[in-house]
Amino acid sequence: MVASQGRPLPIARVMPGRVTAGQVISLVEVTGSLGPKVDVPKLADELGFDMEVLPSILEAAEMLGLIMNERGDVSLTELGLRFQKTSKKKVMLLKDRLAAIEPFKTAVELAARGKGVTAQTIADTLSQIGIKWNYLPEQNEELIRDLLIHWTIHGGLLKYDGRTGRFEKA
Amino acid sequence: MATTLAQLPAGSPVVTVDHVSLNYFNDKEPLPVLVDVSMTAGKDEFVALTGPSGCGKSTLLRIISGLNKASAGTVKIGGAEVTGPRPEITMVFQNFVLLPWRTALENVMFALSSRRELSEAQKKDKASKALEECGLSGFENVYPGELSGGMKQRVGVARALATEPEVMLMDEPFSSLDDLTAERLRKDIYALLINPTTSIKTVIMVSHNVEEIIELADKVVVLSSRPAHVAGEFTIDLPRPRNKKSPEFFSWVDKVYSLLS
Amino acid sequence: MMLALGLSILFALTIGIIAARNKRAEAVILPLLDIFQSIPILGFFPLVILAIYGALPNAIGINLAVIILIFTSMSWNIAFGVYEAVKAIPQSYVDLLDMSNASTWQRTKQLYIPASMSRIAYNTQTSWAVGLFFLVASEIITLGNKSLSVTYGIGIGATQFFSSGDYADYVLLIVGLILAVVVWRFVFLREFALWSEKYKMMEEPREQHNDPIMRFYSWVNQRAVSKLFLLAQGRGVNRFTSAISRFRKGLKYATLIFVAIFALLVLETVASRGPPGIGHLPPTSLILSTEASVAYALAVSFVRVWYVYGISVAIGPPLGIVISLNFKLYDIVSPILEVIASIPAPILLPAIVLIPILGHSSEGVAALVIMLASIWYIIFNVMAGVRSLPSEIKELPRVFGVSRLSAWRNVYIPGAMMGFVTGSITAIGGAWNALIIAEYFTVTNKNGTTTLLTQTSAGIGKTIVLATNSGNILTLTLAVASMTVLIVGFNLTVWRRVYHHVTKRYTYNR
Ligand SMILES: Nc1ncnc2c1ncn2[C@@H]1O[C@H](COP(=O)(O)OP(=O)(O)OP(=O)(O)O)[C@@H](O)[C@H]1O
Ligand SMILES: [Mg+2]
Repeated sequence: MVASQGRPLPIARVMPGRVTAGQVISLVEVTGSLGPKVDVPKLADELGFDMEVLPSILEAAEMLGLIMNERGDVSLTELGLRFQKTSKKKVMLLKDRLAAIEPFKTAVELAARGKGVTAQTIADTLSQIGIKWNYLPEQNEELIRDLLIHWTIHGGLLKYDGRTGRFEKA
Repeated sequence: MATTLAQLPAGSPVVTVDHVSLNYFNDKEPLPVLVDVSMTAGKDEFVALTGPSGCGKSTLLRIISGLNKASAGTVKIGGAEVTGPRPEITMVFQNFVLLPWRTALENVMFALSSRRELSEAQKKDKASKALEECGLSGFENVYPGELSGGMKQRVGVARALATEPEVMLMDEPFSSLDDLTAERLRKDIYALLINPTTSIKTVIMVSHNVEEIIELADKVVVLSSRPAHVAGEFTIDLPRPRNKKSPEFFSWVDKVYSLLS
Repeated sequence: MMLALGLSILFALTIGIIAARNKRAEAVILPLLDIFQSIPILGFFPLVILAIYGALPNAIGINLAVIILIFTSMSWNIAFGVYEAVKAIPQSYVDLLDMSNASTWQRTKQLYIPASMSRIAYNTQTSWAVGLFFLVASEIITLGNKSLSVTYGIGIGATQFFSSGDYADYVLLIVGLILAVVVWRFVFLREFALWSEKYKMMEEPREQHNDPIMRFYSWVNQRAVSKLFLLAQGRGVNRFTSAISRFRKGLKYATLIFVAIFALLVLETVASRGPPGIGHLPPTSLILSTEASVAYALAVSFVRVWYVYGISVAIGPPLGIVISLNFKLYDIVSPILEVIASIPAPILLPAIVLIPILGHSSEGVAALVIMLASIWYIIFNVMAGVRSLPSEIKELPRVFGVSRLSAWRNVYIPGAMMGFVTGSITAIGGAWNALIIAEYFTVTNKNGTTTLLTQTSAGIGKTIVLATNSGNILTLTLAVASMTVLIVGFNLTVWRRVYHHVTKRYTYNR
């Protein structure tokens, strides 16, 4: 979901908006329990996702290195297996992976520079290199904030304080 | 707090609802909602309460919590009659009911603000611990509006747990969440509630979801349509963890469904 | 009054529908409405009077001016209502008419007007109160200058009875007015409001549904204020505004300049035709020295408005919260407050002067009048805010057995915050308008002798009235323009920020 008409495609990998850790966890669990290889229709059926949302969940899980998707046959990677077995703070396992994906990458870089960074700054910085999730600036900013709150806190990458709206180094 | 409850033998009643009736008044016309309802919830028991929509499940839960007064009959906790909200009873709501202008931590601390014996630091400590148990460490300073539905309900549960209650009442706690989120939360919450270290002795949960009931409950109480009386009561003796695909599970589901319709 | 109301509704319908259905018109009309809604209209009144009087130097001119003022005071609010209503019509309805090839008139008759009906009804309730205030105030203002007075009206009656010593008649008149207000508000407007319910297209929350009186302040004001800051992030509002918001922001400043030019034009017209016969624009030095004294008066008034607001804040929110938390109290007290709130402060002023403790302090009188013209907005908006909180939230303190202090600090006060800010913005607007009668007030008895009832040492309201009476166009124009700039500027900078913060943090949507 990168609106980049007229610009070179960004090299950075970009997290699909609105994919939650819960969805990824369920995907990994179901894939793991159904056997070494599961096809996508079966996953959709088992998880109760429709075919509209499942692709972005698969994309996210693949980007995070949890699954491999070979022409519709999904299997867990080594990390995926470890992820499935961990019972507490699963997302912590993804810390380094997350740090390589936008918007987390930029957020971590900006937060490392000083006393925290707001979602607005991160959104502005990213849209300058052509990465946005939503055309409307306010909604784009909100989506980025949701993504960051959702993933970086669980992942142990950043801290967030709602009173200042700033993300800081964890 | 009611330490007497701790000494009760397992299975002996913690909550006793005794011939409770209730009328609401709409334009002076009495509207009978509950008629002569009796039930018990025992020590270490997870009781589910179900019935057709609008039959008075929430009303019954509110009477047990002391928020509403019965028109007739009594509710007892341990041996003491419930006449108003009590510290050993707590509630989790369908739509979370968090204060949007307070952070997650402040929301949990709010529930502790009646505890005079605790210092501010102790309250904060208890609140962070409750949040952590509910899988929300790191989310202390996030506002409810910035959390997803499942996380909001986790704050709701953390708030209830922080008060170290003995009776936990839940009114359709999972019904405003999507299936997957609800599924995960059910597992986590069940593990938290039925756990030797918790203060909780008894859980009463209102639910429309029969599978959820058979998955979680030790006992299910089915109410009839309004005016509600008890239409049936079953002890679900399936071993845990329960396999949602087993034929025994399905036969329980069918049994409860047949009473509901 | 009725004439003005009718005109207002008509005008509002036209403007509202055009703005809602035509993108380009929308871009012009909305910021204009926005500005007009936030300026102190009463301040402009003397200017308008002088301008019209210049053209039509007789009683008709004056009456026309009064009608224009009331019309102006009532229209914006209703126009916003119409705009929002038409804008909110589901696309499917519009499509339906598109398919049947309906003419513009048919569309208006079949769809736009019915869709606007309920908004008009509710917004009329606010406008009515505002209009009544302006009616009385304008009649009284004109008295100051004998050549410029309306011949008959409630305001005139009240002050005349009073100054001639007919206290019985004075009291009778106020009682009569109260009765009229009660009949109008509780019978006619309410019926109108209820009747228009059937024109509603979408379901609204039931709790508010049953409470038409409350909506008088809450719903209407909420909208009005969120419109005041077109960039606000309120729900509903977002949809209409986000796309063109930036464009509009620029326009808002452009409009400000436009209003200033308009004021200058009025000055020109009046200066060249007006009775006092000033030929041309006065020298710069005179403008500067006049502006200096105007600025001083403005500063004094600014302080006055804010300390009165401070007192209102100490009284209003606690009162509003206490009343709305108790159902029985609410049922009894809110209609009473409604009635009291709708008696225009200017009529009461002569009686206020007699209150012993205030009797000798013109400052005290001014403060009380300002407060009477503004505190209601705070009280009613706070009440509406607290009542619209979900009952479960209000029950939370009981569920967790928390102390009263903690309940207020964590639940009631934050819960009332949104209404409080909305109310404050409107209240401060009301306070600025009230200055004009609060700071300088004369009465004329039947024999035509005028006595000064009260005057403060300085203030922009006094400056305006005195300048009107003596025909000092320069001072008048500068005073009105400076006041407008101050108020609009304050709204755009301070209030808008507060409003944004509060909508973000203190609205309850789960
Ligand atoms: N405060 C009240 N005053 C009057 N009637 C009420 C009140 N609260 C609830 N009722 C009515 O009492 C009946 C029972 O309500 P209750 O909320 O307890 O039902 P429920 O079984 O929880 O319904 P649901 O399945 O929708 O949650 C309903 O018909 C409801 O309309
Ligand atoms: Mg219910």
